[in-house]
Amino acid sequence: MDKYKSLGLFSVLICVRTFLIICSPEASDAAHMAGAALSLIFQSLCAVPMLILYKDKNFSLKKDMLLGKFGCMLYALFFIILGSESFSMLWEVTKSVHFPIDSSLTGALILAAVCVYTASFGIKAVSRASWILTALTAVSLAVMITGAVPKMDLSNFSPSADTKDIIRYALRDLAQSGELVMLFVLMQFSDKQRSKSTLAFFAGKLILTEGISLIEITVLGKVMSISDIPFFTAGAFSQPLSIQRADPLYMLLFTMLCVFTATLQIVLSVMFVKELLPKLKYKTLAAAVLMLGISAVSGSFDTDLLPLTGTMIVILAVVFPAAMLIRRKIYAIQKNNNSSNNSSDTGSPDRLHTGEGASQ
Amino acid sequence: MHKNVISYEDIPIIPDISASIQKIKDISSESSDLLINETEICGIRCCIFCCEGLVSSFTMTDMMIEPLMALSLENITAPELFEHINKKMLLSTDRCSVSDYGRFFALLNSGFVLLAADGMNSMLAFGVQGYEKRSVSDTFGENNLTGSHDGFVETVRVNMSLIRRRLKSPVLVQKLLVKGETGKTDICISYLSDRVPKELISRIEHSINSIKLESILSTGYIQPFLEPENKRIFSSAGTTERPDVLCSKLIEGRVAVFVDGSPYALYIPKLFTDNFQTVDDYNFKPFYGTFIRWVKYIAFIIALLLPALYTAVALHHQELLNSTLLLILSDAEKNVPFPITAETVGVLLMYEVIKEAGLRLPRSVGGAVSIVAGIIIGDCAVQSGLISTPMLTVAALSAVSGFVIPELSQTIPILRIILVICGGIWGLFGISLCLSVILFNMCSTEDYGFPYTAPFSPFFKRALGDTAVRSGFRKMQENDFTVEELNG
Amino acid sequence: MRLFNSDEVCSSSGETLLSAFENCEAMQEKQLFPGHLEIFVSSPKQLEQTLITLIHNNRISPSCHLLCVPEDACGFIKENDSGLSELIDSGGRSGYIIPKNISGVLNDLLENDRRALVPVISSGEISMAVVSPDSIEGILSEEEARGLCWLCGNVREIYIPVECEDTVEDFYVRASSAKLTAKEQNGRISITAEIKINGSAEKNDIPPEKMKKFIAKRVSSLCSRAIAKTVSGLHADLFGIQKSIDAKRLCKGKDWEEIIPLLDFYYSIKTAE
Repeated sequence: MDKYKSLGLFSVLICVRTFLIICSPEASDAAHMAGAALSLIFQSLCAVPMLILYKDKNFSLKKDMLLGKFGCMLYALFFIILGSESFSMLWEVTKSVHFPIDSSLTGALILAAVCVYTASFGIKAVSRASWILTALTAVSLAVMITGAVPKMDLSNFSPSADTKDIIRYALRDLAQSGELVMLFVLMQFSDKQRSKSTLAFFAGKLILTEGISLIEITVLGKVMSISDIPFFTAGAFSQPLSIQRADPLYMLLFTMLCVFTATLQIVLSVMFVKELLPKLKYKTLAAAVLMLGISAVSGSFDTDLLPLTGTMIVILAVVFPAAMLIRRKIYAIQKNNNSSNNSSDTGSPDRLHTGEGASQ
Repeated sequence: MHKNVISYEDIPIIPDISASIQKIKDISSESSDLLINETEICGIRCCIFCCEGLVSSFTMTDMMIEPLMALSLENITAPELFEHINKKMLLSTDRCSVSDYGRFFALLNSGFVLLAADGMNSMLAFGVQGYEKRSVSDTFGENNLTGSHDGFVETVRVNMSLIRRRLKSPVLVQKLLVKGETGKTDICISYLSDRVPKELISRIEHSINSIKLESILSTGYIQPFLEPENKRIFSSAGTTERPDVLCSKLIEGRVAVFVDGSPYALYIPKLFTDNFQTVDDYNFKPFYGTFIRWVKYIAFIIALLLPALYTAVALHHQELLNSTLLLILSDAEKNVPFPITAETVGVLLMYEVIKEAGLRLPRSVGGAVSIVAGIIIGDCAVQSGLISTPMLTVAALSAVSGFVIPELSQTIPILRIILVICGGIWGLFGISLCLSVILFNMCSTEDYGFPYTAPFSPFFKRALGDTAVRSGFRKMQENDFTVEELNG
Repeated sequence: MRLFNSDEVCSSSGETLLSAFENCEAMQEKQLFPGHLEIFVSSPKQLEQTLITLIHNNRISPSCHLLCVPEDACGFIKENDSGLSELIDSGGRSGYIIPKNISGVLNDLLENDRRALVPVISSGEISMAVVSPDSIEGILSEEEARGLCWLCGNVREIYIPVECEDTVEDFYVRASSAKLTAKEQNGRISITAEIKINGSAEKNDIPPEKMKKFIAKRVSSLCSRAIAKTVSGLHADLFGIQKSIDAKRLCKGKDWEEIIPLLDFYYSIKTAE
């Protein structure tokens, strides 16, 4: 299996998060920012069982998968749904930002074709590309801040927030945090420094979420409430280098992150599909087509997939790792009991049989 | 093995000297440059074989023929004669024994003189090479201001000596292989044994041994065998014609491959950042070296993206321009009869045509190409309104920027045109998609496990001192970085 | 619509702004690119909706200037087809106009008071007006508009005439800044406008301390007129007064209309050379 270097996990996840932030249609406010922070604390706690699991060198996600092939199917399905959201986001953004394509469908088809090609390079290429995209994100944000600083009005930011709103936003943020499942799956490719990468990711996510929200709030003010995609509107309002509208600049970042995210979802879903259907040909193409199909169906019926993804995140990133950890701990205790029984075998031969049964 | 190539390695030397001479004549079809001199040494019928033009007549006469002719041993047999010559006479420092005709011809064609004696099923070979070769001179492609002015030549052994002169270390290994079923070309693998894993060397040797070509006439013949099989845009094996550059690569733990007959050396692995390093960087002050390096990175971006961005912005994203710039562009483009994309692709293709014409023509005519292309075509095309001035400026800027990174001269023109077409059709969206393809392709490129995009991706902080910046030598001497750290 | 780099005016009508734009494109037989629109002249009717449409049209620059005309904007442009942008710029330089762009005006209209300040041309004169989402609430006189400029810290590099006892002297303002702070006093809210002026008198006949007093008097007078008109008269919060009150949690639960009667304004004018 391909392994990638330390902190690769950080850059991969931060790219996915950046993509979600920049195409979020929600207007930010203090409650939103506090909700994101609260959700992040919960997510950090969820990462603890994952880290403990991977600390054990004998742990393998595929071998120790809960519910066997059904578990694999759930993960594959989750990544396909998440991938379909990347295409849905492209469709949403094309409505709000000027994309020189004939139709959103054309755009999605071209994007899918590119993703099928990029996914063929595997997880190593995805990890390496993430470093460069992280740098591109940093440069884009620096350009945005340069243009936005003169237009920032700190009085637009009101630090008061209602507790109910905070909890509502925290739950919403959690339901959008597909990276948590990715974190669990991608940890297997990270050779070392998993804790460091995870910590760096959560810190980066916090800075990114709060930073971009603050830029949007202070630059857009009340206009944010009528904006379709606040990041792009903030991009249009920040006018670096005397340009008329800067939002097409961020199209570069958006498209590359969209390709990256969809590619990652394809690679991850194919990884689990391989476990289910090892003989299936053209898995990458099939995954891309499925993603496109789900995206088209959910778009035409105006279905909100958030409750579904939220539930799946809780199952796959909270319940599954915790259950796997508990199962391993129980096995370990039983194994210890068994070995202690073996060592005291000469003293009490009757207890040997009970221990044997448990260790199976 | 090639089906038409006949191997003589299985045919042993015939002891009867007359039959042996006849066999050699038959194999070589009595080639005119094969010199066969029959004589008698100490009463034994002998024959001296050599290839005209490959041996030094003076050395051969002085060091071989005169001592052999002066030899007077009585009642001696042919095996005793060979034993005497082998053990008591040092006719050449490079000598060996030959027992088959395959080896006979390989040595004969490498400038050896072969001595046969009647009744012997082997021959003695003496290296007295003296063929014409180009002297060590300045490089053609990798010019510099402050570095040395010697470049590799076509002779592999001279190139080996150029490396040895700079790295007088016992750990410098220069291993010679012979490849090419017909050409029998000498290939030299050069590396520092204390920093290159044996596994890597054996993998490289395995790759070279998998070559089944009839002849290897330049480094380009073996490069594909040293790179990954999958189609990659960027080359993961580098070439250089400078010994000092190659030495620096060897010190970093890379492996060099020379091909006899080519004044270029290949080095493996090549990183993307190698394209932006020159000898002068290390002779300038670190701040200037860093500045120049970043100029090259920016030049790469301009060379690759400027025409595509121009097309995309002019056609689809005019809001990215300020009003003055828009006014200039709209004034210039409104009278041009072609769509901007066609105009841009046309200009870029014409530039490639002119470049190729300038390269292939004799130097005396090359100047005329510049005049015709630069003044007549360029000026008239603008004046007649076929091409707009901003478009020509953009194409020229892009072309000039491309000259800064000659190592990428094969990749940039192709990608540039593809990007222009994508930018023309889908604007920045198309460019981004195209860049994503390039990025993923580049990130997946690795040679023998060394990522092409390192040390930026994956990120290696220790290697940044000679990539993102050019650190001073005081700092560099503390950082004994080798590419082996990037593996994986 | 006046075409870029041309004296030609392209005019068309439609049920909505975008349909008018499309009709205009059809008449011109080419695609019109609004990304470099310099100035947008609008009548106050459905102003907010028009601005939302413009912002949602993803190709118009948010820094496009806005100018209001009380009557028919189409007729106005036909008569005054050039020099509008320059007129606003020169008004801004002279210290009685605050140039406003479409994003700024929309942002103001979406605030709680639903009022915004917009340059307006009425009866051939350029001035400032307080607009609501659907109408012009009031047009400011030149003195009131100048007061607004002072309160917004927009006065710089101009000469202002200052009455000094019997004469009128020129005072050169290099730069100025304004800051409004809110404070609660005996159940009322006192708003202090602190205006810092950096400048010097053209002649040195009058002692500096005296000059400072005359300037303070002049600027305070202009500012109080502006406040009286906009806040007390038109109930507009053009200087973010409510935001500063909310930030200090002074009038919890009270809306803007309830706050207005509680406001007392004070001016602190500081002049430095």
